Amino acid sequence: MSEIKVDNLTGKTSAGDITVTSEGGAATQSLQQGLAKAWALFDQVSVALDSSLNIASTVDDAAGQWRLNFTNAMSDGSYSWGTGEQDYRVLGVSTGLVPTTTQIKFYTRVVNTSTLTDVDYNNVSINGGLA
Amino acid sequence: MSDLRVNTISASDGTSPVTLTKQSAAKGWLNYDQTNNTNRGSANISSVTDTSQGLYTPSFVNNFSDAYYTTVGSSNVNRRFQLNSTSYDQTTGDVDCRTTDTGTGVQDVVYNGINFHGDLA
Repeated sequence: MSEIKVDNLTGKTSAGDITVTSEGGAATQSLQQGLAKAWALFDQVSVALDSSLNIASTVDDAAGQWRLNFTNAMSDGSYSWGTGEQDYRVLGVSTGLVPTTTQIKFYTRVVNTSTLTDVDYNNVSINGGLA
Repeated sequence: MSDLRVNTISASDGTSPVTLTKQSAAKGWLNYDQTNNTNRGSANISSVTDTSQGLYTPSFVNNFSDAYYTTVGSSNVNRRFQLNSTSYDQTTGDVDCRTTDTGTGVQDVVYNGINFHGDLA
Protein backbone atom coordinates (compact mmCIF):
# COMPACT_ATOMS: atom_id res chain seq x y z
CA MET A 1 0.00 0.00 0.00
CA SER A 2 1.29 3.43 -0.89
CA GLU A 3 0.76 6.36 1.41
CA ILE A 4 1.39 10.05 1.00
CA LYS A 5 1.91 12.11 4.12
CA VAL A 6 1.27 15.74 3.45
CA ASP A 7 -0.14 18.70 5.36
CA ASN A 8 -2.12 20.36 2.58
CA LEU A 9 -3.86 19.18 -0.56
CA THR A 10 -4.52 21.81 -3.22
CA GLY A 11 -6.04 21.46 -6.66
CA LYS A 12 -3.45 22.04 -9.39
CA THR A 13 -5.76 23.46 -12.06
CA SER A 14 -8.27 24.92 -9.63
CA ALA A 15 -7.15 25.27 -6.04
CA GLY A 16 -10.52 24.24 -4.63
CA ASP A 17 -11.18 21.20 -6.81
CA ILE A 18 -9.60 17.79 -6.37
CA THR A 19 -11.25 14.79 -8.01
CA VAL A 20 -11.44 11.43 -6.29
CA THR A 21 -12.57 8.06 -7.62
CA SER A 22 -15.70 6.39 -6.26
CA GLU A 23 -15.58 3.21 -4.16
CA GLY A 24 -16.83 1.13 -7.07
CA GLY A 25 -14.59 2.85 -9.58
CA ALA A 26 -17.47 3.84 -11.85
CA ALA A 27 -17.47 7.54 -11.14
CA THR A 28 -15.40 10.47 -9.99
CA GLN A 29 -16.47 13.23 -7.68
CA SER A 30 -15.12 16.42 -6.17
CA LEU A 31 -13.43 15.75 -2.85
CA GLN A 32 -14.18 19.25 -1.60
CA GLN A 33 -17.91 18.96 -2.34
CA GLY A 34 -18.12 15.85 -0.19
CA LEU A 35 -16.39 17.12 2.90
CA ALA A 36 -18.58 18.38 5.71
CA LYS A 37 -17.93 22.09 6.12
CA ALA A 38 -19.26 22.33 9.66
CA TRP A 39 -20.83 20.21 12.35
CA ALA A 40 -22.01 20.85 15.86
CA LEU A 41 -23.33 19.13 18.94
CA PHE A 42 -25.14 21.91 20.77
CA ASP A 43 -26.67 21.68 24.24
CA GLN A 44 -29.24 24.44 24.51
CA VAL A 45 -30.21 23.50 28.07
CA SER A 46 -26.74 24.37 29.34
CA VAL A 47 -26.00 26.63 26.36
CA ALA A 48 -22.84 24.70 25.59
CA LEU A 49 -21.24 23.82 22.29
CA ASP A 50 -20.12 20.31 23.24
CA SER A 51 -18.13 19.72 20.06
CA SER A 52 -17.92 21.30 16.64
CA LEU A 53 -16.07 22.05 13.44
CA ASN A 54 -16.01 25.52 11.84
CA ILE A 55 -18.38 26.99 14.42
CA ALA A 56 -17.23 30.33 15.84
CA SER A 57 -20.07 30.84 18.26
CA THR A 58 -23.66 30.02 19.14
CA VAL A 59 -26.59 32.25 20.03
CA ASP A 60 -29.38 31.17 22.38
CA ASP A 61 -32.25 33.27 21.03
CA ALA A 62 -35.17 31.87 23.03
CA ALA A 63 -36.70 28.57 24.05
CA GLY A 64 -35.99 26.15 21.22
CA GLN A 65 -34.45 28.87 19.05
CA TRP A 66 -30.71 28.97 18.49
CA ARG A 67 -28.08 29.90 15.92
CA LEU A 68 -24.70 28.69 14.72
CA ASN A 69 -22.16 31.23 13.45
CA PHE A 70 -19.49 29.90 11.11
CA THR A 71 -15.77 30.58 11.50
CA ASN A 72 -15.15 30.33 7.77
CA ALA A 73 -18.11 31.59 5.76
CA MET A 74 -19.97 29.47 3.25
CA SER A 75 -19.85 30.57 -0.40
CA ASP A 76 -23.61 31.25 -0.46
CA GLY A 77 -26.80 30.34 1.40
CA SER A 78 -27.60 27.27 -0.68
CA TYR A 79 -25.80 24.70 1.46
CA SER A 80 -27.52 21.69 3.01
CA TRP A 81 -27.97 20.66 6.61
CA GLY A 82 -28.69 17.31 8.19
CA THR A 83 -29.89 17.05 11.76
CA GLY A 84 -30.38 14.56 14.53
CA GLU A 85 -32.52 15.13 17.58
CA GLN A 86 -33.13 13.44 20.88
CA ASP A 87 -36.35 11.67 21.75
CA TYR A 88 -39.58 13.17 20.40
CA ARG A 89 -37.99 16.36 19.16
CA VAL A 90 -37.67 17.80 15.65
CA LEU A 91 -35.12 20.29 14.31
CA GLY A 92 -35.93 22.71 11.51
CA VAL A 93 -34.36 25.83 10.06
CA SER A 94 -35.83 29.28 10.40
CA THR A 95 -37.71 30.73 7.45
CA GLY A 96 -37.67 34.20 8.97
CA LEU A 97 -33.91 34.38 9.48
CA VAL A 98 -32.92 32.31 6.46
CA PRO A 99 -29.57 30.50 6.22
CA THR A 100 -26.79 32.89 5.20
CA THR A 101 -23.10 32.53 4.45
CA THR A 102 -22.23 33.19 8.07
CA GLN A 103 -25.06 31.75 10.16
CA ILE A 104 -27.94 29.32 10.29
CA LYS A 105 -30.82 29.44 12.76
CA PHE A 106 -32.65 26.38 14.04
CA TYR A 107 -35.87 25.70 15.90
CA THR A 108 -36.27 22.67 18.11
CA ARG A 109 -39.85 21.61 18.77
CA VAL A 110 -41.74 18.78 20.37
CA VAL A 111 -42.80 16.29 17.73
CA ASN A 112 -46.41 16.56 16.53
CA THR A 113 -46.72 20.01 18.08
CA SER A 114 -45.40 23.51 17.40
CA THR A 115 -44.14 23.85 20.98
CA LEU A 116 -40.54 25.04 21.03
CA THR A 117 -38.22 23.59 23.64
CA ASP A 118 -34.58 23.55 24.74
CA VAL A 119 -32.88 20.16 24.50
CA ASP A 120 -29.50 18.73 25.45
CA TYR A 121 -28.59 17.17 22.13
CA ASN A 122 -28.90 19.06 18.87
CA ASN A 123 -26.80 17.45 16.13
CA VAL A 124 -26.14 19.30 12.88
CA SER A 125 -23.88 18.68 9.89
CA ILE A 126 -23.43 21.21 7.09
CA ASN A 127 -22.44 20.38 3.51
CA GLY A 128 -21.86 22.82 0.69
CA GLY A 129 -19.19 25.16 -0.54
CA LEU A 130 -16.96 27.39 1.55
CA ALA A 131 -16.15 30.90 0.39
CA MET B 1 4.62 22.62 5.79
CA SER B 2 4.26 20.36 2.77
CA ASP B 3 1.72 21.09 0.05
CA LEU B 4 0.65 18.61 -2.63
CA ARG B 5 -0.94 20.17 -5.73
CA VAL B 6 -2.91 17.68 -7.77
CA ASN B 7 -6.10 17.45 -9.85
CA THR B 8 -7.10 13.84 -9.18
CA ILE B 9 -6.32 11.41 -6.40
CA SER B 10 -6.76 7.67 -6.77
CA ALA B 11 -5.26 4.60 -5.16
CA SER B 12 -1.91 3.28 -6.30
CA ASP B 13 -3.56 0.99 -8.88
CA GLY B 14 -4.77 4.10 -10.66
CA THR B 15 -8.48 3.32 -10.43
CA SER B 16 -9.52 2.46 -6.87
CA PRO B 17 -10.54 5.18 -4.42
CA VAL B 18 -8.11 6.59 -1.92
CA THR B 19 -8.62 6.08 1.78
CA LEU B 20 -9.26 9.18 3.84
CA THR B 21 -7.71 8.60 7.22
CA LYS B 22 -10.38 8.43 9.93
CA GLN B 23 -12.90 10.40 7.90
CA SER B 24 -15.37 10.06 5.08
CA ALA B 25 -16.79 12.39 2.46
CA ALA B 26 -20.48 12.87 1.77
CA LYS B 27 -21.54 11.50 -1.60
CA GLY B 28 -24.25 14.04 -2.15
CA TRP B 29 -26.11 16.98 -0.62
CA LEU B 30 -29.16 19.04 -1.54
CA ASN B 31 -30.84 22.29 -0.56
CA TYR B 32 -34.32 22.02 -2.11
CA ASP B 33 -37.26 24.43 -2.17
CA GLN B 34 -40.31 22.32 -2.96
CA THR B 35 -42.67 25.28 -2.79
CA ASN B 36 -41.00 26.73 -5.89
CA ASN B 37 -39.54 23.40 -7.10
CA THR B 38 -36.03 24.89 -7.03
CA ASN B 39 -32.74 23.15 -6.41
CA ARG B 40 -30.84 25.95 -4.66
CA GLY B 41 -27.62 24.02 -4.36
CA SER B 42 -26.43 20.45 -4.54
CA ALA B 43 -23.69 17.96 -5.21
CA ASN B 44 -24.25 14.72 -7.13
CA ILE B 45 -27.94 15.52 -7.72
CA SER B 46 -29.05 15.31 -11.34
CA SER B 47 -32.68 16.32 -10.80
CA VAL B 48 -35.46 16.53 -8.23
CA THR B 49 -38.92 15.27 -9.14
CA ASP B 50 -41.75 17.18 -7.45
CA THR B 51 -44.12 14.23 -7.17
CA SER B 52 -46.98 15.81 -5.26
CA GLN B 53 -47.61 17.91 -2.18
CA GLY B 54 -44.86 17.16 0.33
CA LEU B 55 -43.42 14.34 -1.76
CA TYR B 56 -40.31 14.65 -3.92
CA THR B 57 -37.52 12.47 -5.27
CA PRO B 58 -33.90 13.56 -5.70
CA SER B 59 -31.95 11.56 -8.31
CA PHE B 60 -28.19 11.10 -8.31
CA VAL B 61 -25.68 11.85 -11.05
CA ASN B 62 -23.47 9.01 -9.86
CA ASN B 63 -25.38 6.10 -8.35
CA PHE B 64 -24.65 4.46 -5.02
CA SER B 65 -23.24 0.93 -5.00
CA ASP B 66 -26.33 -0.36 -3.18
CA ALA B 67 -29.42 1.02 -1.46
CA TYR B 68 -27.91 0.96 2.03
CA TYR B 69 -26.60 4.50 2.15
CA THR B 70 -27.72 7.07 4.71
CA THR B 71 -30.10 9.93 3.99
CA VAL B 72 -30.10 12.61 6.69
CA GLY B 73 -32.39 15.57 6.25
CA SER B 74 -34.13 18.44 7.94
CA SER B 75 -36.73 20.99 7.02
CA ASN B 76 -38.37 24.24 8.17
CA VAL B 77 -39.61 25.08 11.59
CA ASN B 78 -42.90 23.24 12.23
CA ARG B 79 -42.09 20.84 9.42
CA ARG B 80 -40.40 17.46 9.47
CA PHE B 81 -38.21 15.70 6.92
CA GLN B 82 -38.87 11.99 6.46
CA LEU B 83 -38.19 9.23 4.02
CA ASN B 84 -41.40 8.33 2.24
CA SER B 85 -42.27 5.16 4.12
CA THR B 86 -45.37 4.64 2.01
CA SER B 87 -43.09 3.34 -0.70
CA TYR B 88 -39.72 3.60 1.09
CA ASP B 89 -38.19 3.69 -2.32
CA GLN B 90 -34.52 4.30 -1.63
CA THR B 91 -32.62 2.89 -4.58
CA THR B 92 -29.09 3.29 -5.88
CA GLY B 93 -30.29 6.07 -8.17
CA ASP B 94 -32.84 8.04 -6.17
CA VAL B 95 -34.71 8.33 -2.89
CA ASP B 96 -38.32 9.23 -2.13
CA CYS B 97 -38.65 11.97 0.49
CA ARG B 98 -41.55 13.48 2.37
CA THR B 99 -42.17 16.58 4.46
CA THR B 100 -44.91 16.65 7.05
CA ASP B 101 -46.43 19.36 9.20
CA THR B 102 -46.78 19.17 12.98
CA GLY B 103 -49.01 16.15 12.47
CA THR B 104 -49.02 13.65 9.63
CA GLY B 105 -50.18 15.96 6.85
CA VAL B 106 -47.78 16.34 3.94
CA GLN B 107 -46.67 19.87 3.03
CA ASP B 108 -44.46 21.59 0.46
CA VAL B 109 -41.81 23.63 2.27
CA VAL B 110 -39.23 26.21 1.30
CA TYR B 111 -36.22 24.64 3.00
CA ASN B 112 -35.23 20.99 2.74
CA GLY B 113 -31.61 20.15 3.51
CA ILE B 114 -30.36 16.60 2.89
CA ASN B 115 -26.94 14.94 3.15
CA PHE B 116 -26.09 11.52 1.71
CA HIS B 117 -23.33 9.18 2.92
CA GLY B 118 -22.33 5.75 1.65
CA ASP B 119 -20.39 4.11 -1.16
CA LEU B 120 -20.77 5.09 -4.80
CA ALA B 121 -20.87 2.53 -7.59
